[in-house]
Amino acid sequence: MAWKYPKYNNTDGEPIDAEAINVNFEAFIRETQGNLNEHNWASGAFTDAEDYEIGACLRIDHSYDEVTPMAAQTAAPANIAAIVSGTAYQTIAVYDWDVVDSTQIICDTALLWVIASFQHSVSNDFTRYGVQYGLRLDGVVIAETVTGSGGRNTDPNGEGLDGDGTNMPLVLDAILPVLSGPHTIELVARMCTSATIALPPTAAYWMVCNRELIVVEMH
Amino acid sequence: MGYDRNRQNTGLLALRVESGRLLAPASVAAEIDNFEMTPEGTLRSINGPTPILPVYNPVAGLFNYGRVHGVFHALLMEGSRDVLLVHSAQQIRVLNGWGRTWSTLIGPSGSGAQLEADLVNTDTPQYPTQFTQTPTGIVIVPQNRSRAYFYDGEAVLPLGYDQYPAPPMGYGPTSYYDADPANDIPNVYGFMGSGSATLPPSYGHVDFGTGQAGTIVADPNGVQAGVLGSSRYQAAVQWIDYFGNLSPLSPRSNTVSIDTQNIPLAGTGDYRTPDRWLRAFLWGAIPKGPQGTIGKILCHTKDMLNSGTSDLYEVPGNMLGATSGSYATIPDNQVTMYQYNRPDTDLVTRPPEPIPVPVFKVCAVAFGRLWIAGIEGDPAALIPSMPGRWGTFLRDSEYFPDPTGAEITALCPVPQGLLAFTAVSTFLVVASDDGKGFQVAPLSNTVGCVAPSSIATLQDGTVIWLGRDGFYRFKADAGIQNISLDIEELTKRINNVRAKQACAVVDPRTREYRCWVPLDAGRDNDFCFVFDPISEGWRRRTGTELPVAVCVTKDHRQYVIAGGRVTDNLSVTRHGVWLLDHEVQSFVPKPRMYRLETSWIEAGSSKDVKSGKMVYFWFRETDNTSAEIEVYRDWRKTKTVYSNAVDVDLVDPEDVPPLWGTTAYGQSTTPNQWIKRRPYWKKVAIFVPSCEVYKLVLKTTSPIELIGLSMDELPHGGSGRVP
Repeated sequence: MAWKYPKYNNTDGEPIDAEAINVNFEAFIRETQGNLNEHNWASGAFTDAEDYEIGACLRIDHSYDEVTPMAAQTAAPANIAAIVSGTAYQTIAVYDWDVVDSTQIICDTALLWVIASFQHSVSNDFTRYGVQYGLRLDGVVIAETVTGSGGRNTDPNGEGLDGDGTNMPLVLDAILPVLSGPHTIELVARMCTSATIALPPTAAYWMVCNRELIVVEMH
Repeated sequence: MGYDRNRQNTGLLALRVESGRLLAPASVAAEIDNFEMTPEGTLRSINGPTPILPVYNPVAGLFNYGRVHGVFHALLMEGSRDVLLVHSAQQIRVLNGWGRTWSTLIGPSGSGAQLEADLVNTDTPQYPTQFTQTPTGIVIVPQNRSRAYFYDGEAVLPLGYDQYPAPPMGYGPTSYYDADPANDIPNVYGFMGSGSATLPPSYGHVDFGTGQAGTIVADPNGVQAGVLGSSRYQAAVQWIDYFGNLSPLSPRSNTVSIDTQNIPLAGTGDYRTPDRWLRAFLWGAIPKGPQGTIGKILCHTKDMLNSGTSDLYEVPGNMLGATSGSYATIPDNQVTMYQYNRPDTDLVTRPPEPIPVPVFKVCAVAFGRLWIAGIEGDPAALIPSMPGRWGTFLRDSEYFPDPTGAEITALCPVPQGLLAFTAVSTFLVVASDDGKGFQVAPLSNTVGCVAPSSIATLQDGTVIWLGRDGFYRFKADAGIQNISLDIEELTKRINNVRAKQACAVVDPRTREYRCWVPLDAGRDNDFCFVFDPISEGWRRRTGTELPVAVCVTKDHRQYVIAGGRVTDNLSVTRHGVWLLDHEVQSFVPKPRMYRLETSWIEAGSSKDVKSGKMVYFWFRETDNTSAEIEVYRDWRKTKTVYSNAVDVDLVDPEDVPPLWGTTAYGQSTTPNQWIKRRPYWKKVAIFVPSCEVYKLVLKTTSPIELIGLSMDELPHGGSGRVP
């Protein structure tokens, strides 16, 4: 670790001392057996990613769906399903977290950089129900990634994003330490309660169109 | 004259420590300068130092530091970040090994520092810059009334907050009064006066929902559906920084009030269900914090007229059902408005009440807290931080160990608790019996510590420090002891004006306690007292280096690093950061004088005359040069018996080992193999006829290793010369 210095500076006239030589060499040999750290490498020594075999340092799990929202977000909400192409995600009409996109990896003990990039898109009810998004690792929602407020106190329309955020691009990310083994990483969403309508919004939903989930496994 | 056959040998004198006593055993030297004990038990000359940042560019030369004030090493970020800090001139720098240079953490404008601040660069008598490692970073305490700073390996900020936030400003709901009570309009708007199409104005603005603040009671007259009672609220603000430190609470805001209003019966007037009469407030002018602030905690009273308390409570964060887990009400340093819409029951946590972080001189971590002392304006106080919040100090948490009000000069954690020193007293802070607080027990009312950086802990847990009249140690089972009585002649020469700048370290390699002090009229720490815990005695090291601060690296290298001035072999003196006891080819320090002086031999029998005949040195071969021997007699060091000195070889001339510079590689006719240096005896004839006492001085600038010596004497029975 860090820099090492020879103990003795052998000069002319001194005995050719095996101990002094060994002490000087050991200082460096032991360092190179696992104690090197950031101070031992010149700045920029490892910045050219082309020098690495793919997966040598970072392993990337990547999944995405291209779902183009049509231009008619102002169309009648009842026809919302007709204004998107492809397979848009549709929030389910319950209050619990639901999976928008997910991936499963098997890795060694590592740091995971989870990035979810997606388009919060149209709803069939622009005014009554909010929606929240978050990242979930192995069934646990990462609270710090959850969008919007969780309290009704200051939001009569319920929590989260509403019609003002239509077609809003969002990115959630988190760096998460994990132990070796399989891990499930999910982008999740939930419909929120309404300040004025207490019943579950059985007929109301939001859609997520273009979306991408990236998991960078860092060693 | 005595007969030679009566010659006596003193026996082997294995000199390892020195004493200033006139009557000292012959086995104790008068001076051992620039030697250290080897693992084999011999005395070997020390070498080095070498610059931490060697010369990579011959044109640029060594890094230009300026006057050094402190140096510190730590492992941060769970041991993965190797940090070496130096405070030199007006900057605090961190070593970037990957760039072979230092980068500036704290410095004046234009220095490229992460944090701009003017640090004082002065040579006045002062403590070295103090550094204390916490589990999450390093507390940096420059002297000269500077603020303390905190560095976690990435970010550097002032330690905590030294200022109060301004109070927030409460807006609405407001009341409009008229001289005619019939025209009084109780507070009608929750917010700014504009209602919505769906909710009447008295409910507040639609964007903020229906109100939840206020107190509704039954109509005492039984006429109305109820009464929205008169209520009063106040708020305050607290900042939180990147390291989790809390600011003092701001002064309280103006009072926001709700006035009494009758709630009409169903079907009459402006009837709404009673809970729809509750209010919401808007708080503005919430102050942004200084650099490093990452959130603002809004603190709010409950209804001060009806709840029975006017205490402030933290308004919880708003994440996921209003849990209070969020670190701040407003998790940023941009927003200056907050719409408060909480029932009193949401307010459950009282905010801590920190004081502004004072300017202080010394600190230490103990009991999971940072203890600060030497406080500007309150020098006798000792204040612990909140656990884990190293820059948050609560109001009324001070301790005053010394009843006379003496300034606390040093702190040192020990297994029993925390040692707190004044210059003339010592105290032990321990946990109180109930475990909720602390209590202070006096250890000494006469012995204190004058230099916080003179404190170092031996590997067996013994703490050593510099007091006013010498060095002391503390062991749990032995209390406080003076360990420098044998060298009191020397310790009395410590420049007591500048003793506070002393710095010390325990070298893990040799186990020595080393303390550099200014001696006599010295302005620099030009003399090093070395306590050898194995031999329970003292040596010294002088010349070459003038450290201002020393530290041991926390990693496996356990290097002893010094910040200060070093003189090279061309007599050029440079400020810098140095690795002690190591030497490289690119930097040759000024040669040291290795000097060993015996005590006055036979002092106990000095009234009996004897003749010194022969001295036998037991060396280990080190260099194809020689050392000088001087011999003095009869208590006078002004005239040597050998005026030009006698040389003694530092290799055995009868068994010369292969030497660097002369041994040819691969030749079989000369010794050319690696060797282990051998011990050998060297005999030197001295002739000190009819003396009372005599003394030997061995000195050289060449590497030397000494095992011991002995002398032949010839006693002259009954030949005393007592006048």
